[in-house]
Amino acid sequence: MAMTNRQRLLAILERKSPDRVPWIARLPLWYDARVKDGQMPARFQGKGILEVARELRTGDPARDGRIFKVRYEGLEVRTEREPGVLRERFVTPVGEVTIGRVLSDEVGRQIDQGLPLIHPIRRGEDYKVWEYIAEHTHYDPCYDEYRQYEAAVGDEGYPMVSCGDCPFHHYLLHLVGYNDAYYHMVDYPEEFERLMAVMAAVEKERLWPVIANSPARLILHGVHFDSQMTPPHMFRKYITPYYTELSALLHSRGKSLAWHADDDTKDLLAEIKEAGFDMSECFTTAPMVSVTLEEARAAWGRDVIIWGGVPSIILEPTFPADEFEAYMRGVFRAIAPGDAFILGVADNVMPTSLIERVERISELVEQYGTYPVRPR
Amino acid sequence: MTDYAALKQAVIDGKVAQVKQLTQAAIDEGRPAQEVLDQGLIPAMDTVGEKFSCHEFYIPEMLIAARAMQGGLGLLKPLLAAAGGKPRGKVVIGTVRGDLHDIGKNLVGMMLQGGGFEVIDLGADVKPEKFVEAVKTSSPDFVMMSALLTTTMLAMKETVEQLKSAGLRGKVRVAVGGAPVTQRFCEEIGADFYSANATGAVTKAKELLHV
Repeated sequence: MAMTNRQRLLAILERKSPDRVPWIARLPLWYDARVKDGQMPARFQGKGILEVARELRTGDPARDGRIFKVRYEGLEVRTEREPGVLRERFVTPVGEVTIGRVLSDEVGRQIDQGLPLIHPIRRGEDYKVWEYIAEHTHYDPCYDEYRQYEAAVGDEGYPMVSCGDCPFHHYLLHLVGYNDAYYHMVDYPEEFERLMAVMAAVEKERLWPVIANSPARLILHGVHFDSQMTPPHMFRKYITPYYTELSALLHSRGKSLAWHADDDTKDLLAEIKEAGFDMSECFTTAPMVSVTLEEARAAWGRDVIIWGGVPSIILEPTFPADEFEAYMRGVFRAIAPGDAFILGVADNVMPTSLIERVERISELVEQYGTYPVRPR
Repeated sequence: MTDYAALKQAVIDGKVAQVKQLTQAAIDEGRPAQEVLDQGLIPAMDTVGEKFSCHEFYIPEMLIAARAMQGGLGLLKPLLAAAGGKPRGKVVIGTVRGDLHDIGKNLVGMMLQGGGFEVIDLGADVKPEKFVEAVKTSSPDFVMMSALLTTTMLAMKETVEQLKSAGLRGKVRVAVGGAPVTQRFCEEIGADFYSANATGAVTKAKELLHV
């Protein structure tokens, strides 16, 4: 009897062999676009996203569960909307900072990718405000909500719970923005180092126990580390210490630590393994970035599970069909015998993707993905 | 006596104040602005590009060096203009419609300036018609477009087509870059060249203009 997607994913997490390579695409962007443009293929019309996934013979990525809610004390968050922009003003006794986000249809989707238009730290004096905000942030467990979510996902997948990002990368991406963050590190070194220390201390004291004590088994923490934006020397100094400690805690509780790897990791393969990550999720490969599946498998072996391997660009109409076939056959060669691997699209089946190719991957999984996977 | 080695090293190290001070000292000594640019700032950015190519430098170091270079360039620009100096070439640059990611575009712009090019930066979320208008009004040697998303890279094709429709395609070279962009895509949409990174874009632009 065939295993369920849940059983396959759990087998991979436990470093056991499932019946075949798990195959979980991420369809929400494609599905939402078809609903919006009215171009849903006839066979999927009137069906929910999970029914479509089932029909395509893929699973539920199950990324919508949560184990805590963020709460602030001693400050006020005022939300202000104006055409095209959403502003959140954090008003504290030591000053205020603002986060602004774009709301236009065209770029609105990028909000989900965490791309603020206005970053809260723009001047030296903003650091003390964010320190205050960090010190007054609390994480209230909502474990029952997670349990209900896991039950609802059922056999279609296994929940991966997003729990945030390390202080350094959060600083780069959300608090200052990549460009200016590197300048700030030079211009405000003391404020920067102090903020990193405060954020890490707060998270260790308040967030980590909530994660460690939760019923969730697969924790997603950390996003978009990139060879260029978080190069090896910065990764080792500011990211490795945080995750070495967090991964050790999670491992002691029987949990696995994943990070969202939708970036070029070519120069970070060793650092990711050393930091204690168990999984690179949405792992993106050439030709979308420079790192290849072969390089990652060689560097990580069974230690770091790869979830991904299908860069979304190969699903585009502009990518030739014969090269798509060749790429996919190469995947099965690269992953043989199939351990520590979950096939997925990195990071999404895009609105412009050819859905026929998603179905073709399902055929290939059935044809070549049975364990042990043999090189062909 | 102007110490170009020190100026070059200050740029490479990203020391803005020192670059400004050494550039001003060179100006005060009566050194021609073009000489300060050619013997101090441009060789520094060439070295930064080389260090990037061999993975000694990454984007943070490039950004910090480029900012330092711009500190010196800001002092030289009025003098270069007054002396009638001409840039090596002119580039209109932007992140395409629907895309807000601008780090790659900014870096290419700064590296081009460090390479002696004049850069007209249209910003992010730039519509095809805005590129066309900039080509009409500025007569650049290049239009360089950046995209980070597979959904937005298609706007590059539309821009190339609008340049054709406006009768401008033969007057400007088009370059494309960004994570999902490939040499194949570049060829398919009829762009002139693709570069995987900022230093490659500058090198290619110099090659094409023989500068």
